[in-house]
Order: sequence, then C-alpha cells, then structure tokens
Amino acid sequence: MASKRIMKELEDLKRDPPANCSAGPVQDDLFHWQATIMGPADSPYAGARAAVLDYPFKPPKVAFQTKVYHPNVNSQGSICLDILKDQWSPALTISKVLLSISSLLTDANPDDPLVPEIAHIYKSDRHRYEETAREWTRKYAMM
Amino acid sequence: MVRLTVKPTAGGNKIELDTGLEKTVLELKEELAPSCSIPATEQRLVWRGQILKDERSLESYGIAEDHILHLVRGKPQGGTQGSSTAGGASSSAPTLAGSATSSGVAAAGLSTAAAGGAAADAGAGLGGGPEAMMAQMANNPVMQAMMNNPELMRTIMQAHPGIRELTERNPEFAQLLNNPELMRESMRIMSNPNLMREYMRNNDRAMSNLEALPGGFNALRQLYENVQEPLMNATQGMGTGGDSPANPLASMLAAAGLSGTGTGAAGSGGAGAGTNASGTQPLPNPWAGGTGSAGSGGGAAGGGDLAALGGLGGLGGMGAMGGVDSGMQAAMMQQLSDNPAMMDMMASMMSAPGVLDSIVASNPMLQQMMDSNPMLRPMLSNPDFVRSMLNPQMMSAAMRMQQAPGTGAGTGAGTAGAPGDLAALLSGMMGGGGAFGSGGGGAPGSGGLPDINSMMAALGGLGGLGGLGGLGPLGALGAPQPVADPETAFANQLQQLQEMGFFDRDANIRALQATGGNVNAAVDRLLSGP
Repeated sequence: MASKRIMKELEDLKRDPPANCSAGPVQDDLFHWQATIMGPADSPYAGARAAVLDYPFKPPKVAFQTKVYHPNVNSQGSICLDILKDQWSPALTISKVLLSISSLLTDANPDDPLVPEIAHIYKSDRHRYEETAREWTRKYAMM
Repeated sequence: MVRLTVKPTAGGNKIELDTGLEKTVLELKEELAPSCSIPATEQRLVWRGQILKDERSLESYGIAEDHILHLVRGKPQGGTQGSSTAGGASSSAPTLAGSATSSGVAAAGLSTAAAGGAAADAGAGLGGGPEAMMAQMANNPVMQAMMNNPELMRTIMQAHPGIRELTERNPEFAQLLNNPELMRESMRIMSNPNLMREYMRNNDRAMSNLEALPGGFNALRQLYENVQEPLMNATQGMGTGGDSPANPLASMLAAAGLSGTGTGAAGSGGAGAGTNASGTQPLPNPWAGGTGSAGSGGGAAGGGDLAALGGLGGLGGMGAMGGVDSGMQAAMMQQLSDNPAMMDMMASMMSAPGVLDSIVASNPMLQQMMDSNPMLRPMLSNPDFVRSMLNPQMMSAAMRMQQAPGTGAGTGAGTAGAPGDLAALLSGMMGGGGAFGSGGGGAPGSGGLPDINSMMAALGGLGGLGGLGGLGPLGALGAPQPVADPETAFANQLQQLQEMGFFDRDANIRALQATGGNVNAAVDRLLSGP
C-alpha cells in the first residue's frame, strides 16, 4: 500500500516536478528520500532528507541536512511545521510537503518558533536576521 | 538518444534536448550552455533531490527518457572553495575545545588564555613556562590515573553542587565528562609543550581580530574598565607572597622541576607574568597589565595551595585573578552580564558564524587541535549549544558554582575561570567552556584534610590552568563543605524515578550518581543496564 502510493507520487514528481523542489528516493530505497529545495535567483539551496516509513498514515519525517538559519528550523535540521506534526493528512503528498517547507523558508513563522533566539532577532532586527541567514546559506548551502 | 527536460529555476522556459545517457553531466552542461546562457561551470543540475556531479554519467544516476532536471545557477566551480575553507575554519573552533578538553569545559581554560593575549606572555613569564608546567601536570601519574578513571570523575562531579546543576541543565555536558577518551586526548595535547606554546603565541592575533570587529574594541575597553580596574584594585590590596606552611602543590611542582620552591615559585611566577605582559605585548592588549598583576595577586591571596594556582592562573589568561574573593567575583560577573553592550556584542558574535570563523581561521593552531579531536567539531559548530552556554542563566549558574565552594581563598583559581570565561567569549571561541572552567576553578579547597588536599591542590591547579575545568571540582572534595548524601541530594530525582516506576532505590541512586543527577540520562541508563 505504502509503496504503491509512493511509486505513484514518484511518477507524478517525474512528470511534473514543482518549480523549485526536486526529490527522489535515495538509491532505490523507496522509504528514504532526499530532496533539494532551490532558492530564488541567487541560488542557495537547502538539502533535506525524509523518511516515509508509515507514510501516508504518518507524516514523513523531514529534516534539513544543510544548516539553515531560520526561526522554525533548529540546529539539528528539525523543522517546526504543523503539517509535519498534528496537521498531517494522508491527502498531502511529498511534493506538497516540500512546497510547504519551501514557503516556510521564505516566510518564517516567528510566532511559533523552534529557535526563540532567531525568532527574536527576526522580529526585532529583520535586517540582521537576513544578513545572518544569507551568511549561513553562503557558507553551508551554496551549490 | 533520449529526450530530457531541463527546468531553469530562476525562470525562463523549459529546455528540451536530446542527448545520450552515456554522456557525463559536464558534457550535458556544455550542451545546455548555449540554450540557457549559463556557462557550464556555473550550472548546477538537480535530479531527484540530488545535485549531479560533473564527472558522473547520466546513466550512472539512473536518468532516463523524459526525466526532468532542474537547473540552478551557482557560483563558478572553483569559487566554492572559499566557502568550504570557511567551513573548515569554523569547525576548527571546536578544536580549541578539544585541546582543553574534557569537554568544552576545559576549553574554557585555553580560550581564556587566548583572550588575554596577555596570557601567552604571562605564561612565558612563569618560571618553567606554562607549557612545561602543563606537561608536568599531564604527565603526572596521579593525574593520569584520575583522568583514566571515569568513576572518579563522576564522583567528583556529583559531589559538586554547581557542576551537578550545570549537568542537569545540559546533559550534553555530562556525556562529555563521562567520556574518558576525550579527557585523555585533551591531556595528551596539553602535555605537548610545542602545541601549547604555538597555541598561545597565536592568541594575540585572535585578539587583534576581535578588535578589528566593529564594536569589538569598545567592548574590550568597556570590559577593561568595568572589570579589570576594580579587580586590580581588589587584588592589589591583597598583599604579596602568601605564606604557606606545607604547601603540597607547591612542593609537588617544585619536585617536578619547576623553578623556585614553595609559594615563592608561584608568587614570582605571577609577578613575572606581569612584567612580561606589559613588556613584550606586540599588540595593544587591554588584558596585559591586569593579568600580570592579578597573577601575583592570585598567588598571594591564595597562599598555600593557591599560590601555585595563582601562578598557573597566568596561563589561563585571567585565571590569575584567582586571588579575588568570590563575592567580588560574582558582583563583577553580574556587572558584566548586565552590561547590555557586552551582551549585545556577544549575541551578535554568536549569531554571526563569520566572526567565529575569522577568529579561528587566524589561528592555525586551533585547526591543528581540531584535527586531533573531531568530537568537538559538531559541538562548537552547533550554534544552539554555544548559545545555550552563553545565556545569562548559564552564566549565573557558573557564578553560583564558584560561590559554592566559596570559602574565601578556596575560590582561587576557579573564580579566575569566570573572567576568563568572558574573555573566552570575547575571543569568540567556545565561551561556553569558560563557564565550566570557572566551575572547575572553584576547586582548591581551603579547608579539607591535608591528604586529600594535596591531591586536590594538584587538580585544582589544573582547574586553574583552565584546561581542565572539569577537574577543578575535585577541590570541592577537599573543601569543608560536606559531601551530600546521595539520597538527600537526589531526593527530587529519586522521587521522579519512583513515579516513573523505577522502584529499585539503590539502582536509582547509582544511576543518578553516574549521570550527575540527570533524570533522563538515568532512565536511559536504567533501561539499558543489566
């Protein structure tokens, strides 16, 4: 069941991948995916890994592999995103999850932070936040 | 021939092209170049979440007919090198910790040294040179035996309320302290005089880097005004040359071939540090003068065991301030941490990885140390960890820690760790470690039984070196403060465990003792144990 669904999603991704995300299984293990989320023109990216063990009944476990400076992403790469937790629905797909994550990257949610320090800077000194985020991206995530 | 589709993510139209799967990625990029107007070296192709490597063939990835690839514009291929070196540099920061040791903890000590570029000179001023002293210490069989005995380390830790509190707040720390390998490794580094010397020599460079940062110099100056001067005033009043009847550490050191005998050695060590610091400092260094005099102050105030520590303190940069009494110290720490400029600077430094990197990059020694201690890499490059060490609660915990054994002179070297702590922060390296270093410092127990005391003193001395902050607490054993009965000390945790369904009280106590009172770790231990 799970692998059928995953195969189908893989087909969909192959046919029509979302504009700024690319994803596929690691080697031939359908249950472990890697994904790359591509930023806007200046081309940073964030690499993520996902384990889709009880998929689609449980949300995939997604974590960034690259360091991301973001109020909702901690230093282990864990992502604080409702659809990855209590708001998960089996109707969601990997591709939608990736789109949600990429939109989270652009629009942080400092009111429900995973890293309060970053959220604080995000709210109080947006300029510094963006500088630092760029810095991290340059350092850890440029292609 | 197969047909592939390439989607440029920066916008633009899809590109369809027919190509052979036996081609390499680079060849594909070259074919793409005319149609997307991005030179092949700047193209990055992403397929199924992975970035394709130039030298591999399309086939080897499993790319097939009709597949879609994403195209991103990256930096020209060689240009990425810059960032990778930067990464290396940052990771070398942890190294520092490595050297020191046991965990970050010790790191403090060394970084402390770093901070006071003075430390380097101060060290040079010491009789046998700090490296020699370090080496002696590290090679001392008693020391080694202790380092090799994790049980003992644990006992020490949990006998010290301050450390226990710290470990409770920070389980990672407990893990580190529980790792004898790590401790040994750091000892090894410390016992290599060349490494040490090299390291110290490089510190003033780091210092100057700090000064070059916007606001860095101001913060240094402020620190100097707020901390150094009052400290100096305080230490100066403490007289010189403590007299120490039967000073075990001093005699030990003397026996070990260090210059001078008894307290005299330590005292003059401190003094030497002073002059040297002001004389040869190549850079304007706000720490220089202070360290020197504090060194002598420390030696003096400490008297007895502490005298030696004072001298050693010079090594730990501000470590020499050991002489200052704990109350004063705490007040000072408070003042520092209340100083918004200071906090601000620290915060900005910690949140800007670049700063750390640049500091570390200027110090090849750090990188070297790093290599010999890879475990510290993730620790330091983890901003959360560093930040957590820096937060005010942590700082105040460290302060409390110093006060705990605080029986007057007892605070000696330990206390010293604290300013070193800040200094460490300043130098942007492993400030967190500093907190522990200071804890360690608390060591040299003033009261204590004479027997234990000599052992203590030796260890306390190391604590003073800052290198081994974690060991410092040994001193606590020597201090008059009674070692709490585990049942009372861990009453809360025991009850928690009981509520969780662990009814074997003895096993619970053992687990708590082994984990320094960390309930989570204790549960893990209980569950995994036999």
